[in-house]
Amino acid sequence: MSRRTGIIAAVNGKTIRDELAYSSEDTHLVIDSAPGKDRLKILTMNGGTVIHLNTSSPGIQRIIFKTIPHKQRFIPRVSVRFLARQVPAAISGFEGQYSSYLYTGGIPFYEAILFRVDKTNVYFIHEAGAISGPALAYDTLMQDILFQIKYAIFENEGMDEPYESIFNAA
Amino acid sequence: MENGRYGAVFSQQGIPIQRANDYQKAMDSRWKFLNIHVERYIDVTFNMTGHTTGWKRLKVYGHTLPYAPAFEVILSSMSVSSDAFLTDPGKMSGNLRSFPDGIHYTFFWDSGFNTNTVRIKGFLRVFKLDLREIYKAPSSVLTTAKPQPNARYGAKFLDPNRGGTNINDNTPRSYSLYTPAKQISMHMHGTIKAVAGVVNLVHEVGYPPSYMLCSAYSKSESAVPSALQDDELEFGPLFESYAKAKATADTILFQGVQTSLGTRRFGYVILKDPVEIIG
Repeated sequence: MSRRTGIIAAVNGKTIRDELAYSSEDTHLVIDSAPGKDRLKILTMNGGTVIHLNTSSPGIQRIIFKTIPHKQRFIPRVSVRFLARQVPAAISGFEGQYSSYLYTGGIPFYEAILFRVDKTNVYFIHEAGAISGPALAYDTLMQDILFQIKYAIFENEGMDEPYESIFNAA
Repeated sequence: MENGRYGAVFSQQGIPIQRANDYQKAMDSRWKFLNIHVERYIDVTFNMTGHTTGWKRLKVYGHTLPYAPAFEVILSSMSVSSDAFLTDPGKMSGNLRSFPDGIHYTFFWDSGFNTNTVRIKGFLRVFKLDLREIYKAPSSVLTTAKPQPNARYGAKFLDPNRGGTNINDNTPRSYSLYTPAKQISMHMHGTIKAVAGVVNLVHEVGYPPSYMLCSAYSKSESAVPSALQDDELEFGPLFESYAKAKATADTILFQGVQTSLGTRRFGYVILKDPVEIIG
């Protein structure tokens, strides 16, 4: 393609020399939303199954509660929004939260909902962890949350090795 | 021009343009899209021999833009931020940060670390986006049009940044604009400081929107103030998982996950992509 063909648009109120709102010379974030490709969907499901934690057995446990083949020839950029729709009373304030990584807990127990991408699949994961300390036990709660999960598998690269949604402590 | 009088709108293929909601547009010249400046794998190793203890700033990528651009990055498990890389796990804290002169790894180096190298490996995507500018697009139609089965019209423009493509390709990846596909446009962007531990944005897009958030630092807030002029900001990478969000059709509230956001400064991008609606 010649670099002199395409479409450009200036930001409203500016000229094309000042700032472009759109240029077809740029790559964009694109999702193939064609029906049947299953690269843009909303699913409704609970967050896996219960994980039993105990400070006498510290460590991290994971349950994959959904596997989606991405059918890309590369490891794609993936966007996942876990939206907590129906929440048991034991997790106060959780209803309506959404993020690509949902977290609850603290010391000595935590649990999270996150996603992982590898060469073939996107995985939704229920993760829970315990650190050692005075004898305490905990049964996870995320499996009792009804999530609405919107995911998008992009036509853009994500990484050349498996990656996961990232926890930001903020 | 005070107000642009001309423009172009492309709805996604099969969507009647008169009834297309914002998120059903493949292109609308009234608002801004996430134009990508560069996306590439990075793998840079720095020799830290002789460096004294203190904050360091190592350039990973020179972006050539005249401001500190918004960016996202996925770091490899091989990178220095991974505990597995260091024999002093957790002692090195840092992240990629955007400055006007490039994307840098900014971190606190201790000459007592059991390593002489810092390796940054990952995938970097830099947007042509200056988050210092406050932007809010107009909202238009608040209904959702159903796709029509016999879509006859559309548009496609090849992406000149991808080699080996031609106009007969039927994969969206070959194109910069391709109306059968969904493209990500922005509703708002800018910077904001948390108040009493929360960030509350009035977006008025008509539905709970998708978002990206990043840390932002002024010269007085930066760990390396000498790298910034008074009117410049330093940005961390955009994340879709930063803080926890709750939204209505008009507002979005960000709160800390483990700690209060205090009065920290953030860069934000509110997308026109709704979190509860497919399309």
